[in-house]
Amino acid sequence: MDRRCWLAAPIVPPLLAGCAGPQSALDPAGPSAAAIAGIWWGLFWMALVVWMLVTALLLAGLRRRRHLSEAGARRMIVAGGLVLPTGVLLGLLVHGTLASDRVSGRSADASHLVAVTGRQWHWDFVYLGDDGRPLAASTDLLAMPLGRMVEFRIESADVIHSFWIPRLGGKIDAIPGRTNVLRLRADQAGSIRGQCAEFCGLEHAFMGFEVQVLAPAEYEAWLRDNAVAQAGEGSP
Amino acid sequence: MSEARMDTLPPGENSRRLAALARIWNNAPGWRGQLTAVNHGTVGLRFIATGFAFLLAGGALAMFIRLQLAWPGNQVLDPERYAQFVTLHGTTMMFLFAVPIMEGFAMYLLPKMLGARDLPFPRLGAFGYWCYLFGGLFLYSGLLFGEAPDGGWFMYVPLTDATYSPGRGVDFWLIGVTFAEIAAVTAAVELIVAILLCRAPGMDIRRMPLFAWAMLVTAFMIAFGFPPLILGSILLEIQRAFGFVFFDVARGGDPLLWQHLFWLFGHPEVYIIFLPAAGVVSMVVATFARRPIAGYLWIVLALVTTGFLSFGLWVHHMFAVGIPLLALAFFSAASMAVAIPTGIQVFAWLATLWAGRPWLRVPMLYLVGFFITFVGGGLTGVMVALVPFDWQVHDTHFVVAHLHYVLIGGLMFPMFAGLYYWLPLASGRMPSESLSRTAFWMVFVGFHLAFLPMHLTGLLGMTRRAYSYPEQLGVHWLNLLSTAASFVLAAGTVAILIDAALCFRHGRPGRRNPWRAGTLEWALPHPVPAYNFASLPVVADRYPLWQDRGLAARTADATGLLGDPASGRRESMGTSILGGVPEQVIRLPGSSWQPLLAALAIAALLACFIARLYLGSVLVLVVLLGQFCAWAWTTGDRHAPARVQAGPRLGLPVQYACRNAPGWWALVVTLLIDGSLFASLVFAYFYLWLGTEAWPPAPMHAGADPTARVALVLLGVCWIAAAASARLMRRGGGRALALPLGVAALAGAGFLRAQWQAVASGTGAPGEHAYASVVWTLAGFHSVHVAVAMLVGLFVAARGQRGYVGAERPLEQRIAAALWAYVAAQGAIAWGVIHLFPEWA
Amino acid sequence: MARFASPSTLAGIAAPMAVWAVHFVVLYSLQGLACGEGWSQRGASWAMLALTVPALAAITWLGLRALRAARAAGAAGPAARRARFAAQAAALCAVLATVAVLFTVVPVLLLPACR
Repeated sequence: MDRRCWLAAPIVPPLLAGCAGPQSALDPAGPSAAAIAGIWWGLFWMALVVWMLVTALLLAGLRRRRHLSEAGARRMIVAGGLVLPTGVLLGLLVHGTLASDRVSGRSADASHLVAVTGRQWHWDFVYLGDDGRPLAASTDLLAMPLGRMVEFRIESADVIHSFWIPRLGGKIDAIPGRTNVLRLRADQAGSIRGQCAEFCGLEHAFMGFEVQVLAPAEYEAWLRDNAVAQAGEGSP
Repeated sequence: MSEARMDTLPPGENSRRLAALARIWNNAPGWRGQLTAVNHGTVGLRFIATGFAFLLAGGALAMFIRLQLAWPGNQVLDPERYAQFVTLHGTTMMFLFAVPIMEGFAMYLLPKMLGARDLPFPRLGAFGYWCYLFGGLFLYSGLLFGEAPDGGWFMYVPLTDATYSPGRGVDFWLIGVTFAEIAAVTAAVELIVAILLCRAPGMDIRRMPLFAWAMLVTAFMIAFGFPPLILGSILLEIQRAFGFVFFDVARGGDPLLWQHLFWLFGHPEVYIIFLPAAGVVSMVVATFARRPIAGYLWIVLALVTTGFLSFGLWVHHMFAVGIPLLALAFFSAASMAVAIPTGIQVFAWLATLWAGRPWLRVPMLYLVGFFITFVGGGLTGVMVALVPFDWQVHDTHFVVAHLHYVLIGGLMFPMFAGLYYWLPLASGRMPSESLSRTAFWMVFVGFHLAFLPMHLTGLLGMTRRAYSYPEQLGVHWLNLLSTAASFVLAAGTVAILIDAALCFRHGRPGRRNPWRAGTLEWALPHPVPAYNFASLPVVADRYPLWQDRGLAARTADATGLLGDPASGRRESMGTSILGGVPEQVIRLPGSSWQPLLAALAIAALLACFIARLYLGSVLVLVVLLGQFCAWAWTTGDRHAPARVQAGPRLGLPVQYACRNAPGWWALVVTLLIDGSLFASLVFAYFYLWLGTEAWPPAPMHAGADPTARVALVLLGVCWIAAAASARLMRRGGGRALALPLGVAALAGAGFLRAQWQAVASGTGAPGEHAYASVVWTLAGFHSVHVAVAMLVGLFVAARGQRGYVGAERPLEQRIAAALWAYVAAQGAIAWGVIHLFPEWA
Repeated sequence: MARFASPSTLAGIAAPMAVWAVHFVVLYSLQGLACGEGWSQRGASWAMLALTVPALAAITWLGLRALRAARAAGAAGPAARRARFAAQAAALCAVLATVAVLFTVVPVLLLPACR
């Protein structure tokens, strides 16, 4: 559980639940989500400071007895409205743009390949070997190897869905006619949760899936247990 | 130009004139008067009242949604109902409340603030209102038929195409929303012309109230921002109804095209909602700081810059669709940049308070709520502008929290501030201090307790549009808190509305201008006369009432500009765009049945369409065209003099004889809107091309064959003939218009025939491939425009025969010629895209 | 009658942001076309940077023209004040538009065109 959540609790009263949860972006279990969670906390404190500054300026302004001069007013507008935002936002833009590349996982090669198909209202996973042949298949349950980069190739069989495992990283949509690629690595063993994040009809709310992060040996065993017949001998 | 413009009148003449003005401007009595009213005060208040009614409807839907989400496993709403309720809640708030309510404020306040008698197109405004009302009712009627839309208020395809939404719910949405949007489009035309042309003498652009600047920028944003959604809705509807292909992957379509078109509208839409509210803030802050606004120039720039930048943000709603990172980064950059002009406005308001003598009354209290809430929402907006962060929180309750912070913070609080600020003007009474303050705290506390937790529930994994959630997420207590607090928010909102409504009857009678504000609307007495000012004010300052103490009294007497109602017509003044110099007297229509009847005809047409009674739709269309022609025939007055006496020693032309006639500028704005619609269609063509291997797909083919060339030549003939009409009319008068406009109409008919043949020869049926669909749509879109130009040309030729148009009254000829020029240019582009591009590509 | 888009007209005030808009559309379209049609990524990035130069030049020219107009606006009277106001607005718009164009270009310096 992230201690920073508890630090923030006195400031943000509704933080009753803490930040842990099987689907919590604030409880990262992989490098991509961890980077994004770090960005979040930076943004949170920055926003809090700005919010308090503006509120203080407002309340002080409502009570002031002396007048600010015209020149002073202009300085306030330029400093607070133009210079401050431009500087801060430019910094955020550079940081965010570079981070978008970093968290996409392209720096390392992916050691595993999974084809994901979203359909109303389930997720089908096909685990591919190095040559692209299907090794195993599962529905609504995803197995991932611990500490290895997995590349997901995400498609849709019907409407737009969105593939999201918050504790591992950001989401990407499953759009009919396209294959979207997402790379995630899980650094904690155990069970976490993923969910469809694009409204796709009646049972969208419960189009979730369980993610089992297994040590490499267990993962190989799991693949064997859920193996599919080879191409030509039937379909998963 | 001041007191020298006042007449000295014989005794009794002033009261006689005031009585005549009242007679000319008042609505007819009874319900007949209400149905035929066109004056801006009545129509503006109607927009506001209807907007609040839809607020209550959308709010009621929200209460059910919150009840359903209060605890995991609730069954207050089944999944289907829940989907309908979230769709209708979002649609109602965005289309039927947020935009129309500020339109209503603008319609009611702008003529008063600008020193005018009315808006320049009263019947158009009334027509817009009826379309808004009937469109909203059309949308809700889906509930009666068990076919409410349920695809979410973004209506993403393929979920909303005929395969996955086979009922009529989506059609009710597409048609109902487009119908209601007519009001936004007519308001854009009306407001641009009003703000540019219909200001008081002396009110140059430097002295214009900031609310007027905000509405000017907003109206231009509506003109460019609504057409992409209108086009997208048309494309989806013809795909569903007639089997066209735009979004269906199997036949060359792309679901992302819908998203691009929707968000090209959707992002400017939220600034269309915010900017008017920002304009209200500028007005209220100045009054309660008891000094002119600081940084007027900065705020004007911030409004203009926000207007432009807001069109460069739309893909930030699509950060998760799999587009390359650099493209995402462009939109991330613009999304961050737009916070700069917003920051400029916030600091300008703060500086005004710091430089003034602040006075805390109820309107200012609501502005405190605005600052705290909106800035919070703006900050979370900067957060979601960051691509990797958005990849986590996109489509979660974090975004729900953000959007409610900016919309309730940025629209509702300023709107409530404006409501309490201008309530004494409209009602002549003061609302209850205790009720309004209590309601404020209920709304403020209720809102924050309801929506602040959603930032966390979103980060904990709670997605949008989910009718329930697993208990293991750990968000149930926060949801319970949100639900409880939302009832407090709802109660507070209802209390405000009740307070405002009761004020009209039971409020404490107040004096004129209780806030001692400086802008022109406060010069009016209560009850506000239907004609606003008996004499139009002449202004010399940004805050006329602070600079000229006697102004209010002078405008109440009919001794000055346009004080003499001898003509018996409703009259207002037109001034030059930049300098506010009087240029024309604008004659306005009185009460009329036409707006209501035209809106009813459109409702009937659309009802036939959704019921698949297409023949009925065509018949009603013919009736509707006849109605529009009859309506247009009543404009202009062939017996009106070319010049009238606007005031002592001031003679001015009437609008038909003036180059800057309101009708001319209405055409310009309409062509901008139409151009945006056309540009969206051309964008759709190229977007689909980019995603397709073979274009056109075999066996279709395209090329500039002889028939196509003939079509282009005929289009050129239309343009030349129409252009020649000006010179012919100068020589031969209105009757000489029959020849050039008749030739143009004939050439137009020939063009339609040739173009149809040219397109049909190589393009297959629309349902075969997206290429065919978009080519037929492009050709059909342009053909409709040619038909309209033919109709307008023949109409103007007939008017010329009857003496309505002539060398001294050239307005209608200019409109017909300009329309043909536009249609020819549009046709040339469409021709190039359809016949030349595929060969070249 | 003021020339269209001169610094004392409404179009003149908005002109620098119109340049930003054209620059933005051109860059985004170029990126889409380059990646959709398989053109050279490095070439596309250089082209985007190169196109930024005329955009900034145009905005700077508009801004300087506006500053000159503001100084030349004349001494007193409402017409002079109005002309100066409009010219100052156009100059300030040029400043904001420059910031906006720079924001648009920063990503081109950080990312390849089609990743």
